[in-house]
Amino acid sequence: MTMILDRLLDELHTAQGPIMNSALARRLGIDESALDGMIGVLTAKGVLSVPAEFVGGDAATCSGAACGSSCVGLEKCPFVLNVPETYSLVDLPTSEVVSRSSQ
Amino acid sequence: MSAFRVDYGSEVETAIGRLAETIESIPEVTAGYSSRWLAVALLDEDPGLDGPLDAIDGGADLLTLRDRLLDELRASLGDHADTKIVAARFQAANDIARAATDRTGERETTRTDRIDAVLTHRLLGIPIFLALMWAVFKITTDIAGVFLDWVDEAISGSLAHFVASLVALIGLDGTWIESLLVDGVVAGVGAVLVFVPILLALFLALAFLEDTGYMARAAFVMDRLMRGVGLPGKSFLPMLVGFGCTVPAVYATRTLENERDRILTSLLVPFMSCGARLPVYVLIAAVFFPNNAGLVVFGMYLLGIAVSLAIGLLLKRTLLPEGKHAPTIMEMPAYRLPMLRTIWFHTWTRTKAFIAGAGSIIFSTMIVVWLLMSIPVSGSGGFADTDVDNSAFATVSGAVAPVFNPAGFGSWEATGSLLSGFVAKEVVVGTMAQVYGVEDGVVEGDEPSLGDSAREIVTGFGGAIVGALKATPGIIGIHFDDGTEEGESSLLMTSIRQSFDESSGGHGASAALAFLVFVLLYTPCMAAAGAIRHETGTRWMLLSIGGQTVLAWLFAVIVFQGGKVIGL
Repeated sequence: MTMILDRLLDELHTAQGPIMNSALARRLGIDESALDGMIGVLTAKGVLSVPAEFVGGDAATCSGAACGSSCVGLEKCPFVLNVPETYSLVDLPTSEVVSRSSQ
Repeated sequence: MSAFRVDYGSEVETAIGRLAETIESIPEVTAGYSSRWLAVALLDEDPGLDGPLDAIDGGADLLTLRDRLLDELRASLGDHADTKIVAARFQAANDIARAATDRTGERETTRTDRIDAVLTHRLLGIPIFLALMWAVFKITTDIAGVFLDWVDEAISGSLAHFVASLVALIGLDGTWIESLLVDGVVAGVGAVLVFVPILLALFLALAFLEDTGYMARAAFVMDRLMRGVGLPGKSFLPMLVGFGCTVPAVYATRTLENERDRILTSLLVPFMSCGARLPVYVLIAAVFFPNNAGLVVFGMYLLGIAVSLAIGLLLKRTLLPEGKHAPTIMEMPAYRLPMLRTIWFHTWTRTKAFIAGAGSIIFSTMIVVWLLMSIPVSGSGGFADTDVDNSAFATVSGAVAPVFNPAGFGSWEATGSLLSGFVAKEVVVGTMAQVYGVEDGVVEGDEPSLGDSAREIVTGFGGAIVGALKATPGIIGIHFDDGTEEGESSLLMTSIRQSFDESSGGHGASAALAFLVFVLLYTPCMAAAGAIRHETGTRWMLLSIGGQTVLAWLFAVIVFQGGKVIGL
């Protein structure tokens, strides 16, 4: 029998393009909260990449014309829209996945 | 009743058994832990165990055995073998949930699911996205545009007269200080601030879409187009940010894992129309296409997306061949009724940042432009008293201007505006106000009293409100005026029209469209170039600046020559 987590990875591999969490939960026949838990574990294991944060922006560069003098780095830049969090499948050799998960 | 036990499969169970056996031979460990639990946790690589185990007798051997067993599991189960334990646990939880709950039908369809079925539909998604963007620009140009005249009157009329009166009061009228303050600062910075209502409306509409949860779906919907140029759908997220400002959009490429995707997206983001370009579009569209201003502005935004896709395709086949794209899960927020407080917060902080920009880099650039326009390099005039055609600014701009003759806007005024626009796009309008305003004398005539000015501002605002209300049904094609009411053209607008008509041999509208295309496609600003260098390196930044400038010129020439052919 195919395990639920394997089915999740299969769905990801066969999806043509990104897949919304709600659609994925529906395909797996589980609640979104259960899917969130799986995503959390897969992220911790390094199977899925952690969504990058807008951190470390160069405040000096960001304080250009359009950003205005109020822009102090990307975290506080008012022009940064609220975008969805995305998790990508990391296609790494096993050794690297293991080393990531043990960090 | 027997204790519940997760079945991890034969290979993993064998490894658990071997580990449990060793654990049981270490009394210090078995005193505190169940041997099976500890074996599973070890194979699961629980990060909290290695340290304590390493410190006790036999612990190091246990960890060595764990590592060897994990290697064996990977050899037999393949990549991600370590997730098998988690998978089995989830499967057990899923089985219990299925056994304990009654799920006779499909998962309940939520309101968000139903809306998503339409808004993210494979075929309808992109047309709906375009229709929403069209509505955003109609609101921006048709409704908020009504307030432009009011702000313009307040700044170039009342404020300019007020500043001139103050200067006269301290006996400096007729000096270069009056010229600097009135023709430089008020005309230049004021011309940019005039567009604050437009930007306020744009940011308001975008914040509305953002707060409802739609903007997140836009990235999902645009994924198919992005994949067409070999980019992951995630690449559209920085591009969405680029509609506000290119600089954070370039930094937002950090969300992409692949270096090739980061570079390609950084090169494409500048083609997205940032908020700073909007005043240029609105001004030129109001001069040459007053009845189709919304369409022109919308067209510029669409052209930016189309060009970025085309360039992406070109780079994919040349410098940046496509790599493998990882499958992605997008965590969408649920749709919700937008909160006024949140919308206002986003709208105001973004507008405030624009105004702050006007107070810093635009202010200083306007002073530099005024200075260059005040320094005579020919003719008989002195400093701040020279014919602007003889100024350093006109001379330098005039030397470059012939380059733009094939695009129809080879005048020194238009060229100078584009040159200053490299600093920041907001400066284009400010420079135009200075170069055309100085020639025609923006602030002339009888000076009204402070009371008259205040009255004009209040009545002007009332008129703008009425105008906005009348314009609102126009978004869905209902017009309450009879179409004969022509907006009053300012001296600036008249001067721009004359200048473009002259430089294009009577094809002013074609030249204006070409000018807009050039503004859309060349480097957004110095800060954006700096951000690209910061994120991708000097080589890519130079390619971006050079490539965009050449592309902008080529497109402008094609648009102008094409426009001439069809009689525009």
